[in-house]
Amino acid sequence: MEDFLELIVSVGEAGSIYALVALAYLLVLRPSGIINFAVGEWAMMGGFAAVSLITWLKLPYIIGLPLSIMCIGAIAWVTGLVVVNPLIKRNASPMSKVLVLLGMLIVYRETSASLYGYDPLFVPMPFGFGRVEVGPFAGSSQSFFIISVVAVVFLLAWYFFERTIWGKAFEGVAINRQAAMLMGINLKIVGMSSFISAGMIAGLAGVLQAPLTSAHFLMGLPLAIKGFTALVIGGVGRVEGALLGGFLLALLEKLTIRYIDIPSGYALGVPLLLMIVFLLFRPNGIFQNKEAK
Amino acid sequence: MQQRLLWTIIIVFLASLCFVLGGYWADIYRKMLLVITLCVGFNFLFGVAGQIAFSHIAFYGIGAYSVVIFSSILGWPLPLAIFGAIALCGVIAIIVAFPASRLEGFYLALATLAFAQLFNVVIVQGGDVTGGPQGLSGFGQQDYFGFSFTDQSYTLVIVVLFLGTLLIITRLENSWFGRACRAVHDSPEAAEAMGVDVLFIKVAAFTITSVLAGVAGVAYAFIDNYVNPLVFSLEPMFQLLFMIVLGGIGRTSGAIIGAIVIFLAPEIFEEWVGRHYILGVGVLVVLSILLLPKGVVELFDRLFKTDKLMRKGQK
Amino acid sequence: MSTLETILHITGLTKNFGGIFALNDIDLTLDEGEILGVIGPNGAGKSTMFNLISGSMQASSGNIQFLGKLTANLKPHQLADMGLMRTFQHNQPFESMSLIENIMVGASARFRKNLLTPLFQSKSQKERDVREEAGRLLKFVGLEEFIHEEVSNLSFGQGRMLEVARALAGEPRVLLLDEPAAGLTLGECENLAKIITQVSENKVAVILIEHDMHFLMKLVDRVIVLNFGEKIADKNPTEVMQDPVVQSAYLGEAGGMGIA
Repeated sequence: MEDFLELIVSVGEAGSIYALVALAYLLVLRPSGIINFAVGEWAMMGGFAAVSLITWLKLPYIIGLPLSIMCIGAIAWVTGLVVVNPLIKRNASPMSKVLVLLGMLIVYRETSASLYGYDPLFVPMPFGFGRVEVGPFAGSSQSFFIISVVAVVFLLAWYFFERTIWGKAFEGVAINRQAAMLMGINLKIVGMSSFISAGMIAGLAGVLQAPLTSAHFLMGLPLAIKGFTALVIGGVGRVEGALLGGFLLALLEKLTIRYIDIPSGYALGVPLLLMIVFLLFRPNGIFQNKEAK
Repeated sequence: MQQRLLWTIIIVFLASLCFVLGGYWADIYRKMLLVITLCVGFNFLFGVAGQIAFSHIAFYGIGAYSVVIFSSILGWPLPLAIFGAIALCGVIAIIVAFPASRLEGFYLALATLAFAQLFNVVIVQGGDVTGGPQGLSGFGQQDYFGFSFTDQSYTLVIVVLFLGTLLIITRLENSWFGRACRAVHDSPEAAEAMGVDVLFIKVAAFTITSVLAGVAGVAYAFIDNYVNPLVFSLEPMFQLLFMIVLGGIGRTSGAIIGAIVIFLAPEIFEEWVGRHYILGVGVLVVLSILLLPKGVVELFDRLFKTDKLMRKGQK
Repeated sequence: MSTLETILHITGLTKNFGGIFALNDIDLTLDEGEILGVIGPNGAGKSTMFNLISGSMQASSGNIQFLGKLTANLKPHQLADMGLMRTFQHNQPFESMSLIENIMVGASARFRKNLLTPLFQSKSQKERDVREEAGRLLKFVGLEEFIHEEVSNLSFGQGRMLEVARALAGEPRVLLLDEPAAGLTLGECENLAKIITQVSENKVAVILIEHDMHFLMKLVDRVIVLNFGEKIADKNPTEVMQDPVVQSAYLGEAGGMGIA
């Protein structure tokens, strides 16, 4: 039983990170229909920002974390402005926007590698290595930290989309750009803020992940794939879907490793198989309005 | 007649390079030809048929790995191993093509991406059968079919393979099949109403291009007598994508140009900037999407159009 | 007087969307060379009927016989292969191809899924024939001056004519035209009427869905009127115009039947 409870905590930790990445996809996908594969690299850069600010400059977490996130938000904003906006202006196909972000994936990765090198870099944990017990659940302090931060983020996100005017504006743009524009919603602001917030969320994922596995220039793509699988599993184009998908994916991953007797390398195949199965049998309308070709 | 002359010149040129280039550059030439071959096939699948299929690189790998496993581990005679590898690619391609035909756009991209990654997981975990992360090596023979392949004659084999693929793709593209593929891409509903069997077209396009990738894979295995998982991973797949984006999506000539540029980039730039040439490729791709959306081949088009205009003026 | 071949024979055609009858028990016969008009207020079931005939939707009950064969489980491309061609309410051109190539797609079935011949011959005889015919069709619909244009540069009316040419490339026995005159100028309408008449003289049956009464009434041999999924009339144009049931169905529709 204890075993299982610990598993839950570890699922919570991994699932939270996947959920964040899924949310980062969602924030750009909903208003603009763009699939941004570069979110993984944004996370990676968040990790490296943490290296600079927290490891090297030794800033306290309470300053370092928000600062790192804001850096990535800024990078996302510039990217949106310089690279994506011109394409939107000239009415380019959805495919070209996805491709340009794939190109940026390489740019982000190689620039980061040039600045930080090719070796993994250490990021300290905010609450050290201690173990914590919360009720019946036991796990590392980092796990609980991650879970609580992500819980707060999703609460805020839910509140934003369900209860505020701005959230409704986002949804409006997602459903019908033209109509939204005619109703006075400023498409540019929605677009820019969606990029900035996606950047910050993805950056946060990286800052939270980095103390666990070190910041490394290749950490982006696996996160991007898992985040997208989480989004596909979660199935609904809503914030809750990202959260649900993240946890389900993490749960299935951990369960497979723990209880099924196959070499651990094969566990990497779990999210992939899940993605294929869900895409074929339960594409479940995340993209119901966004059939991009 | 002019076309025939042009093609004869090209063929003679490509073939003679086999005998002129030595050692290192011969190796580059062989690998470049294979990459161009892959690119031309992928361009048809992606640019003409409109299927974003990241599985292309996986079939390259299935071809390479299976010919090695069949011939050196299972001990089959080489002709049988080659046939078996190609047949295996065909079977897997058809099996994947049917569910794939139900997916569109990004769903298809993701499912095929997952498939490619799964292939990678399988060969990395394959233990002794696939050689694991290190791959398989040293399996080559000196005599094939009782004929000893020198470096140069093997290069010729690859030239033939490249030209064969180019011929197949070009002929298909210019036939009713190419038009049907484009029609299905542009508007599946209208295509169906015009008598196009959409399912058949999708499955055929996917299968044919995947098998061609597999054949290239078979040829790849014997270049260095070495296969490893990295060659068949997502990174080279993204490179293929970048090549056709740079060259011009949907244009065979664009695929060739893009492949040559991106493949030779490290050869030219690695000396000066080391690994950073990859950054250059990324920037180049971004710039080309922003500034030259129809690809580099569009520049060539404009050149030749002005040419045509001039000729008309003279008449 | 030779007997005409029956092209379409429809009995009891019904389409039920969860309790709502889009079409209810429709009977219809169409002979070769006949031009049939289908009219009715919006939502009467006209497009549904087209979709059922062309195979893109399956009927809830009833039978459709095309050239004597039941079409129940046939897919649109199989029906097209048999000679059932259609156009759409909203133009659906193939934007990545030239005008000629667009038209050639209409003849796709003629190539019988033959992948081998193209590999061995760069320009087979059939390919050349189809291309030549596409050129003739382009001329027939009056678009030959645009032969080098991009499809996306065509006006709405020109795009419509391209769709007609494309459908004709399929050597149809029956042509289903979905509001072909919509958005056409007067001159384009006259051109279209001429084309339809000529096509029917070549023994091709034509079914037209139309709202433009002027255009329709002078062109068709017979008119079917649909209302709320039911057939309320099946007569020649003059009789239909005078039918009180038809007139009351249109009362309340802005402009009535639009004939002064």
